[in-house]
Amino acid sequence: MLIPGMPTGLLDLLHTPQRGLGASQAGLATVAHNIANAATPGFTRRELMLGPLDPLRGVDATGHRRSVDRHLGGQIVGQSARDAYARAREPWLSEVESIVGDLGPDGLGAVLDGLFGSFRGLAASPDDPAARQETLARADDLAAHMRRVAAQLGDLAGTADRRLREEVAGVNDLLGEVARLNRDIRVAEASGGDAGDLRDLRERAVRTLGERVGMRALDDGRGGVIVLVGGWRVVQDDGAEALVAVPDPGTGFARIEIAGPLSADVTRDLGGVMGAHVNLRDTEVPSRMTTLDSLAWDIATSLNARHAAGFGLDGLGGRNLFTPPAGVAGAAAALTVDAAVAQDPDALAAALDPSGVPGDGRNALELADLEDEDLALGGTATLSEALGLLQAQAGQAARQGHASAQREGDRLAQLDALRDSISGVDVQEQLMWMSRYQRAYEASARVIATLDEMLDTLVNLR
Amino acid sequence: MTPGNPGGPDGPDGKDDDPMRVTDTMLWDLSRRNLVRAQARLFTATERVSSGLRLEKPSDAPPDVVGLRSVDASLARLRSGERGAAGAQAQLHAAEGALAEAGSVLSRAREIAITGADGTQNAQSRASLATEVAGLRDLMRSLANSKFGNVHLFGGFKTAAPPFLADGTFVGDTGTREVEVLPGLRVAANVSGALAFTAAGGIDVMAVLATLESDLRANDAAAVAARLDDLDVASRQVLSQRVAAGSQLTRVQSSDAMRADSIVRLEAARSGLRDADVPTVITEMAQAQNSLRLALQAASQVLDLTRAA
Repeated sequence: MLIPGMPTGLLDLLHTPQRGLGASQAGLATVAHNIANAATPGFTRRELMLGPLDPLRGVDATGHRRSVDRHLGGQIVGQSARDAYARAREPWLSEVESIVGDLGPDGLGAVLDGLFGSFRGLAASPDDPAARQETLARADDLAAHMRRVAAQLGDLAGTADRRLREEVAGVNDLLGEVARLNRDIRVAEASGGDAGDLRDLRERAVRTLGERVGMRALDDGRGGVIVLVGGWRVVQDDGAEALVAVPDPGTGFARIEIAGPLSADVTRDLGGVMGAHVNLRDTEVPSRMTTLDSLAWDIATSLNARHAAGFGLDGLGGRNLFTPPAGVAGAAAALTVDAAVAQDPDALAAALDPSGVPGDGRNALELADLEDEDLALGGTATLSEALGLLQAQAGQAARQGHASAQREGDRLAQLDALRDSISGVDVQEQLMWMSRYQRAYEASARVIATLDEMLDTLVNLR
Repeated sequence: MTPGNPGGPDGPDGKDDDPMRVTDTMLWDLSRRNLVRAQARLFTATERVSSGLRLEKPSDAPPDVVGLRSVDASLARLRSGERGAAGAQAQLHAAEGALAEAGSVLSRAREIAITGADGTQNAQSRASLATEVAGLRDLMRSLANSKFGNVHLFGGFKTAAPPFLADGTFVGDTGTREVEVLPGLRVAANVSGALAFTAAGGIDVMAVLATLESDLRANDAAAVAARLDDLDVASRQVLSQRVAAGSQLTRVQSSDAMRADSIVRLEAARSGLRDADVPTVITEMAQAQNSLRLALQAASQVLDLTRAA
């Protein structure tokens, strides 16, 4: 009984185990490739696809399968962006905290307490030049501390802005790379080739891009990837737009725009590391600065009002303790002891009555009593409480930043593990595949030997 | 991925009930993360043990920061009261001493007046008594001009210059110099020189002594006798200010004890907010060390397994 097309002669039959040998070799090559890349980040394990060659003509290696879960890939890009954002934000928030959050004897709180304490000392001996000098020094201390904190916050925002600009070039390189890989993959796959390694490369580039800008990546269904930043297509097919940092004269900081005719402002749409820089620069620092400024404003205006109602040793009143700030914004950075007082400690208005000098310290006591008055936060908190609140807010933000970095990192690790479970290389498993191909190879060789013996038998038949 | 999870991606062989494949990278990554985390935990625990603080920076315990701020402010306020109280106490001591001295001066003047009113005295002896009274008057003026440091104690707010001129005129005022010895509690650091020595308090002490002197010089026994009542009024007047100084002094001194109590209480509150509980942090550190050791062991076994394969 003969099946049409099946090998007929012994010599013809030799091709079948020969194909087996080839398939086993291809299998071993696959195993070797997988094991070699076991530690390559983003590598996708290959599986050799084998199929029978009918009728009874042996086996055929039909190609490689990449074990991937496309949905998971998208999730990982999104999660690694969130992870990068949280990780970049954490140290920023710690820095903000360390600038405003000194709870020790050199912190803002101790300096504020020191000023009020010095008012009491001045009240006890308004005629003592040392007490006047002390009050002046404490007022100057407080002003200098406020200015320094404001300057450090400003510097931090400036650093974030610089880091944001520095990201642009690298991101543009990555956008170009994704577009190039889009093209290469399409070319390779159009000619029936294997673009697996190129796809791995593109996956890594997209992921890195996500970590930097937190964009979205979509599959265009034709083997290409579309990259969206703030709803704008910055990569499609083999074309890529570039980001550009445009100086904003209003803020002195840079806006991130899409270059060219689009010129869309995407600053607020950024995620990842760039998003963390923007968040610090445009949200965290300004919100701390606003609180600090209104605290400085409240200190200056309320102490000034009380001070102006009193009289110096020269019997003159109506002088300010601090230079009146021009407005709430920038009040902390501009806080200084008023020149009239700074040059002459005798101008400190300790007396409530010009005829009471030099022993009248009642206005100094009034100044000290402002400590208890709800002068801050629209008359709902004392100055000290408002400062405590500012420090608590910075602490809460730093704490939350730390927790979210940990949480996002955990989520990413979970997704990575899931991806690895599907696409990664398990060396043990590969070793088992290796023995299996080895055995198959040996078996195919045995078939050839048997055929050879049969041929031998046939040739020596007489 | 849990087996059979309908939402989960398919297993490598397309079967849902396959167990999750665990790759070497996953094992390695897990060990690495655990090591890093255990290391960080040990670092925090060591930091707490060595600093002894649980609230070193606001993020350690944000809800406690406002509380700590108010405790710190209260402590600073109490401590600034301590300085004020010490100054007030010293000045009141000095004032009380001066007024006690003034009391003895007036007692001596009274003895002289009794002697001078005696009919057995003659003009010469009265003149010598008058000279003694002149000395007492100078002494009284210098007592009324007493200074503590640079502060004239009886001048009211006029602390810079002697409140009594050579002729006994008072150039001070009636100002009360208050200091805060406890939050919300003010005590005067001076007593009024006007009330103690001038007609504002009832009688002009300097004038009484001056009149006594001139009466003695005039050898007028009856007039000298009439001065005795004035001297009694002057003594009571000085004494009443001395009592006032003493009672203010007592208030300052009792505030010391209250302040010390408050400081102890606030320090305890502060410590509760800020300081780490030693047994707790030591335990935390031991736990952190232990988890680091376990993580290291696990990591080395993972590496061994990989090598064995």
